[in-house]
Amino acid sequence: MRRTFAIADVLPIALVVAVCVCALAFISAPIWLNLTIAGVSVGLMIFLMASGLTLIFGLMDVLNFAHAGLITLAGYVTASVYAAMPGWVSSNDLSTNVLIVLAAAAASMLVAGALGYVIERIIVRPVYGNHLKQILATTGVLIIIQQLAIAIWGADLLHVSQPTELKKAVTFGTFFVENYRLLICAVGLAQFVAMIWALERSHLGLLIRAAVEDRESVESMGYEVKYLFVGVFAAGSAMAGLGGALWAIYQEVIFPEAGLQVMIMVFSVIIIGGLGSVLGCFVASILLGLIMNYVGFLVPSAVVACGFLLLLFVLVWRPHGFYPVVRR
Amino acid sequence: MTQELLRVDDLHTFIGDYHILQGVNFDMHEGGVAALLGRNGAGKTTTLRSIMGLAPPRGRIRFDGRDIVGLSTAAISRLGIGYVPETLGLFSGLTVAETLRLAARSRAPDRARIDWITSLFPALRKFWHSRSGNLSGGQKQMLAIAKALVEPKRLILVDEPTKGLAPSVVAELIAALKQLTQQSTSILLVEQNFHFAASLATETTVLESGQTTWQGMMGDIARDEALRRQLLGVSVV
Repeated sequence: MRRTFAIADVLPIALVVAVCVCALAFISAPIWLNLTIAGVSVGLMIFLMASGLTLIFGLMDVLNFAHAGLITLAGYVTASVYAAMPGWVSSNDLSTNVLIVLAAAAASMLVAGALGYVIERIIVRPVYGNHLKQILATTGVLIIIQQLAIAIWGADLLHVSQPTELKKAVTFGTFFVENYRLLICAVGLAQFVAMIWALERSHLGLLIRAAVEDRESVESMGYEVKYLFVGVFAAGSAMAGLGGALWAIYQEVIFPEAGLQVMIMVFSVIIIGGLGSVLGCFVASILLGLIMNYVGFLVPSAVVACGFLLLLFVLVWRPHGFYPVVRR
Repeated sequence: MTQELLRVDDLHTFIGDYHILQGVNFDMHEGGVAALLGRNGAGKTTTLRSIMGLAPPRGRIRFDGRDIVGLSTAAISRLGIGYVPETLGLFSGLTVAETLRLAARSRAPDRARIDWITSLFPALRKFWHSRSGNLSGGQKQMLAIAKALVEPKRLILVDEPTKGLAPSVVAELIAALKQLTQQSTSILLVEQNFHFAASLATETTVLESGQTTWQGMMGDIARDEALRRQLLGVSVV
């Protein structure tokens, strides 16, 4: 699709740059550089967890609270993969360390994607178009996933350490960045590019965008939209699995409420970015990551409030978010 | 007489608690244009939606000798029925090219088919890379019909194609639809504009309160003003 950019489209990106420049006025340059790189990696981490929900909530209009459960489940699957291959985690070989992270992420995506398929077929399909029932049904699924996790892995915190070499940092003078953050940046950027290509350039992406706008019309052209939507739901759930796995490793711990704790950030960036917009979710995630890092350094007690203030500011400035694909 | 293409028998459709179609019966033949006429709320649009499976009906609908009640909308479409709804069913964010590529269900639609469609509707070639949300009313109507035609269809269902269009655009539309019937595509037309319907259709069914009240040749109803007044409540000057 040929997209023409207006000044209004550039403003959210300009806001990210403005936040960085403003922070530089309060923080010395070497620390600012480290905080900025860390903020971008946290932002990409949030994007990895939120991007699946952008498809499910933003495009398909399903309020899926089970997304939090899938993020939690991914953390536990990661812990199990770690337990199965402890030597790979403690290895001093970087490629082995990267492989164990990718293996955990792949297993988490598989489990979350398969569970997402089942959730769509059994729980969500009967409640399309009814937000209240969606909230009740998917919250029920979230509770079931949490209780199953407690039954299988126990209620205590489970340690999910970062592999040995990924804990180490690359340093350039006073500037340093951990290898794990670099890995997150690489995966986050790859997912962003893949999603933009899939939605904007591929035949499947055309189909998804069309089905979201007019489902009946797409069915009248000979496409079985219910199969398309279950595929999108499963893909969105798999992305929750990827984000959940990498988040658990980043936090180095997993517990039954872990997914719920990040859902406020996840919903915030989807709303700030504009419903259904992958680009919006990406820009909003980076912005939130940066602001959290800068505020966390300057006024640590205000970190939680800054996310809400950003949401409030954007809703007043642009009630539909940065780049809304659908307006409800 | 050509072969029967579509037969609708004792069609009943409910929307929520409302019994909208209460026994619709008609048939149409291959290669022709049939018009469904009737006052507002008679059940014309619901009949088209029932045929497409968008409003699941009870009764019997046979297309090309096959019972299609109970099939999904997509399966009905793949049997060779295209649908142009009153709302046009376009995607405002997609360009003309993207819309037709999607409708062709192929990354590379048949070039000759696209050339034929753009010869029917030259404006589409001019606005090939424009988003459909930015087209004029007439251009949108043309794109909606082109979307239904980009894959070869044996029958297209067209709901109120002249609504809100300027007379010059209506004339273009008549010419394009006439050309279409020469390509062995049949048309089932729902239309309030009697002149437009009469200029295209050979067969006619009149609906009233969800039931068939009359079926016959368009010539009969076009010539007989008393009958037209009785069935449709309109007089054509």
